Amino acid sequence: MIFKPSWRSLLLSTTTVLAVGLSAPGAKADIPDESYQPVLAHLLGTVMPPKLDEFHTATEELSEEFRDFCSDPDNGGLEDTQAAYHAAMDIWQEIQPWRMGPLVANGRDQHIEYWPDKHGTAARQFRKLMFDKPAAYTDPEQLAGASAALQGFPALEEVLFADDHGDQMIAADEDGVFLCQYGTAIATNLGTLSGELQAEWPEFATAMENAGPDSMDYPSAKFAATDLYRALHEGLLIISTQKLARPLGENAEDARASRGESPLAGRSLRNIEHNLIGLFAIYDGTWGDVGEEGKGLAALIDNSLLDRSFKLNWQTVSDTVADLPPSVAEVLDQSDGYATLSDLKGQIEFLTMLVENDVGGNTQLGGGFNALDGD
Amino acid sequence: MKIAKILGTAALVSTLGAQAYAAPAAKDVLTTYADIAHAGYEDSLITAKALQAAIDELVANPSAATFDAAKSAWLASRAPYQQTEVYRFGNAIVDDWEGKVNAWPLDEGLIDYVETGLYGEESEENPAYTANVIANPTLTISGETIDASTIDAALLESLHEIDDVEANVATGYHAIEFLLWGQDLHGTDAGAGERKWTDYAAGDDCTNGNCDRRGEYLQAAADLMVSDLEWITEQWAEGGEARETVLEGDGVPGLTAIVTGMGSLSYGELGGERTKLGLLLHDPEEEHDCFSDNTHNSHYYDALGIQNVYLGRYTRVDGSVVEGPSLSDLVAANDAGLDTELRGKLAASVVAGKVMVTRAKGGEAFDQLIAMGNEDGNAVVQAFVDALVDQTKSIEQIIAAVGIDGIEFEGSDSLDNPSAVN
Repeated sequence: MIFKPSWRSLLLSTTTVLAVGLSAPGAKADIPDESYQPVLAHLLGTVMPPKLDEFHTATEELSEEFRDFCSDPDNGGLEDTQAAYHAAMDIWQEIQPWRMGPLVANGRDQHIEYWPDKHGTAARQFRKLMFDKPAAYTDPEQLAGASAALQGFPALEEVLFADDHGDQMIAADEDGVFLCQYGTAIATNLGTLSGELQAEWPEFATAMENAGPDSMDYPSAKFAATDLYRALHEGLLIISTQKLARPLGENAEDARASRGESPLAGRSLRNIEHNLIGLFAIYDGTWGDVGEEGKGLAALIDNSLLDRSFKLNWQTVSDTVADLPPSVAEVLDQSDGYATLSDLKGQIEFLTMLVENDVGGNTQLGGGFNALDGD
Repeated sequence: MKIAKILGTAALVSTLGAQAYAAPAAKDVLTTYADIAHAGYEDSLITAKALQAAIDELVANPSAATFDAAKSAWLASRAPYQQTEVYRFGNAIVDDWEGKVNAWPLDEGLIDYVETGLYGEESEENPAYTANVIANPTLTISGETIDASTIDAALLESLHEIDDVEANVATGYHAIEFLLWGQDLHGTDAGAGERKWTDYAAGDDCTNGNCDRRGEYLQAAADLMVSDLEWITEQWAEGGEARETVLEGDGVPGLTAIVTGMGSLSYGELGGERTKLGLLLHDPEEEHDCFSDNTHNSHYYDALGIQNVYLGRYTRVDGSVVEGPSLSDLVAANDAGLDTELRGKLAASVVAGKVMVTRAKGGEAFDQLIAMGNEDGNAVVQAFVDALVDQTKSIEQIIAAVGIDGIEFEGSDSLDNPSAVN
């Protein structure tokens, strides 16, 4: 019999081993404000821009695929469009946790992806949309002024992956024609949103890098860097308290994959896998082939053992997610599926605790309000 | 319960009392905070009792006049209550309680008849979506049979958030609001709910059936709200648990409660869930007082409540003023610039809220302001959101200014004490 250790014993053993020999740290002096500036410059000026370029390219390709598909709809075209959706969604999920500046300005992140939909607004508005089929929703410019629940990735997912919609578009019946035009408008609008994000980011990055007494928004580099810490912390909280807690429900009987993110596209866990890539970049300073190790928030941590411990723990959690199927529904279908997802939630909560205690404490950036404070 | 964690796990370094300038003692600031809380909840109770009396009169003598009087009493009751919402985040005792009186949004089909063409027949998330307590003396929810033949406080309490669905709101201001106004079927066009007084009429004049049970429900909800407000008022009186909690210790927990309440209401709740969300979705279902179209006032008084606790000054419903040493005084003694900045920002959000009130008085309610294509109206609401977000940034700086952060590395539980993380 192969002994399979629990995630908790794995994570704690890593932590314990690395802790041997550490003496209890005493009170630390304040980190000089200038120490935060290179972190801001690296993450906001070097790491993020190429990823925004990548996102914009992916949404442009998605829009192109949608137009091609709708010009002569068939199954192959639908599958190509769905693949383009997944490609754009992958890079979006990496960017999504960087909730600051142009990403959240004017609710841009919500227009790109309105989720969770706690009040079932999208379903209600979509029912009405299909009943009325207003022409405004097939025009990308007018769609940009519509409800966030009717634009962005979840709306596109409804068009591309919901039962019957693909067949309707291929059959080009009245509903299908509208869905094709509406889907193309959503994809085109996503290209516009990603282009705006790409264009506005440099000015924001410069403002953050130049934080100081002369700045109206960021009176110190530390104050600016708090946004990065908060993104890391809040990103993990969202994974555990929304992306996993919602489908898990109160217990196994109450579990419902449909409450997860991107359930129709079957990629609730694939989203988390990509979230973790983007979040780790905030800490480590590397994001795929972009950036440089140790130049994120980790640069502020003067404790190599703690840094190694944190990275090993993160890698363990990332590996866990990568080993799972992409869909919550697939995991819940397994006999131990509920326990598997509950364990994953526990792992994410453990990482959150490490961020609060180790990263927040050592970088002196912990605290602040977040968007999850409301009901 | 959701209380923003603003201090992380770092040690609190109390520098209170060590200011360079004459600053009020933390205890005095907290006493003012508790005094305003008590006055605000007492005013909420006073106006709720007036609402209760108006409802009793409506049920006893249904007419257009008594119906309008009950609606006016409801509107009046919202002004003091909304000013207390700043106490919710940061004070666990309030946050645990407030869902009884101000839970929102609600699936109103639980309570009474609805227009199903707009509302729908069922919800995947809520088995009681159209339970309609008023029309059904016996209910079956998730396989459980409930005897609803007698509508009283106990029944309403048992139905509140039944099946752990938060939208099953059976009690409080919004349940009463629905019973007085009915659904707003105008979407983002002008007009609130148009329930007729005859929904409470006797005999053949009764419209939509079950007028007697509707009256019983309304009275039970009003009675329950009064008793709930009596309870919370007691908690803030001398010797009450809420007051004792904020006053205990060296003042740091109490000041933390003030700042937490101001920041969390400004940002996540009022700025986000209650305002920005409606704007993003252009959806009247997302407005706080959606049946009465009173959202502009609710938001304005929320913003005013945040300003009240910072300035340590509250004008009661009878016109008298409760005031004393304030957080503003404490911040000013440590960082006069921050105090000036925050006073300005709080005033700006109150003014932005007042603009919505003015627009509503001119015939353009919140649900019209957030309508798709109403760029000018959208801008008015966005300005309110922006003001709230802006003030949150300054509120965060209070933490350092009054010495309640002391964000100081205290060691890492995960390294120093692995057993502590089990």
